[in-house]
Amino acid sequence: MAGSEEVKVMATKLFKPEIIPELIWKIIQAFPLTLTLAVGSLILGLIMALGIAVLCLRAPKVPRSIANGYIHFIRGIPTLILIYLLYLGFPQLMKGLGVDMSGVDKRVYLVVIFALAVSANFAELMRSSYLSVDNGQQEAALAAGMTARQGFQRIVLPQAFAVALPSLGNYIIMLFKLTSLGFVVGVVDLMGKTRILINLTYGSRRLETYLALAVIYWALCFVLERLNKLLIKRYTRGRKDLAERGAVQ
Amino acid sequence: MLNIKGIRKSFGKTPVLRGLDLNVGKGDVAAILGPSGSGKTTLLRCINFLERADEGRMTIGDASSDFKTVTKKEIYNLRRKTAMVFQNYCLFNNKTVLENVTEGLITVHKKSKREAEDIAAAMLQKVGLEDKLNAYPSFLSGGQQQRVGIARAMAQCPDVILLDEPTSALDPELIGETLSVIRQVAKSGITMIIVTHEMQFAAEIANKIVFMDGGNIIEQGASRDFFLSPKEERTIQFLSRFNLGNYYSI
Ligand SMILES: Nc1ncnc2c1ncn2[C@@H]1O[C@H](COP(=O)(O)OP(=O)(O)O)[C@@H](O)[C@H]1O
Ligand SMILES: [Mg+2]
Repeated sequence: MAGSEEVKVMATKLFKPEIIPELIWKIIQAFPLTLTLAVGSLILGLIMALGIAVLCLRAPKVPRSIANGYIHFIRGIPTLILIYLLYLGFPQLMKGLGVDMSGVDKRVYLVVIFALAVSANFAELMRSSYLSVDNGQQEAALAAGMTARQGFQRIVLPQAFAVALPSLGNYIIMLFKLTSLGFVVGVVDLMGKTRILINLTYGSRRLETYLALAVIYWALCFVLERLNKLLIKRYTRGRKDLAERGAVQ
Repeated sequence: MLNIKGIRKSFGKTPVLRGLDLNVGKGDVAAILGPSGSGKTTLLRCINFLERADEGRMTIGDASSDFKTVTKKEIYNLRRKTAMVFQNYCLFNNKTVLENVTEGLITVHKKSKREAEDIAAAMLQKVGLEDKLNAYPSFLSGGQQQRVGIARAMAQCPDVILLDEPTSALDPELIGETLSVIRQVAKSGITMIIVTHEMQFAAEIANKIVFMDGGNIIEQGASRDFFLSPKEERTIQFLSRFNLGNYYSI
């Protein structure tokens, strides 16, 4: 008698925090995909951004305004809409042109889409960080007999990187969180796995499962933030001006 | 040593250098004087190819080029014969004092790190900064930064060292220490072209004075002659603004 009552109480207990560690363990099995999506789109996004930033800085008027337009366009579009547009809309368009896109992996779509989404911010960051380095730095390198390339690599780039680091770190953290949108196309990343687990319990452990997921993302971001702080410290060594700017943020 | 013939430079439609000739001999200390906007900075920058002159010829030591047809390779070659000291120092902000000096020695002059550091340390001692080797530029005073700039230029063993108003960005109390370092460099026998507004100083260290105005050299000559018996009306006008009598009357 007493036993079955206990079961009843257990079953109706609304919140069971003690199951969270186990849920974390289950969800984290999907971490490799989240990592792949984030790192893949980070690398691709940086490459795209580099191209766009170079266009913004160096290209003649027409390609330059196209690059600027791209930045504004991408920045103004919610990533979720970008996913629907490119994952659902684009293959439809290609089909009309006689190209079958159905063989392309969902993960490839997502990497490209997330890369597009972050490329605008990355490009703008590269452009502004480069411009923040005084022209005299490169001139001093040239005057010392260095080639333009040496001056860029050894003097200008490290300084631009130091300027970019705080925002770059923030963008990377945002990108990690952004990949959680991938579930809408049905990939099993951290978010996808979470939703599967919720469905397995018919939604009865929704709160615990999402909390477990939040803990994972939070820990991840915590580590990234720490890492970024370390890098900032290293690259702003000896830069009173930059260190102060970093401290404010 | 350094010979320039008919150098011309325009920014857009504005002519800034109007075909001037300059000759600086080995061991000369030439001071370029003139009102601001007369093209002094542009002339130095053209010598160093930070600005590309439109016309003219330049010879430094054994290397000679026409500004119109000069190749990239010739530019790098000629640049290695000069060193620049900038008005606003332009130290490499991401490098320590020592690294500021070794950077060019390692990347351009292909010295080993060890060798470069020895040369740099010796140079920095000469400018009185032996206790700041590992400091970063942003922690130095303007005067100290400019002395690093001078050490950096000297370490490259250039044929000619170019200084563009090396003290005009400094607080008054820091000018003295920088001038005395430059004085010491001038005495060491290195060829020097210095743009300055410090008349007294120019009169003291330079053996040759070049007076520029409106993109032309109005008058040039031995320092003593220039200050004691200027020939051109514009030179006399310019000099009348400075009280130099006491220097040359000694
Ligand atoms: N990069 C530039 N673009 C356009 N005009 C310039 C540039 N640099 C200098 N000038 C102009 O050239 C003239 C000479 O400048 P500058 O050589 O700096 O004179 P100074 O050093 O004698 O004061 C000035 O009228 C200046 O406005
Ligand atoms: Mg000037």
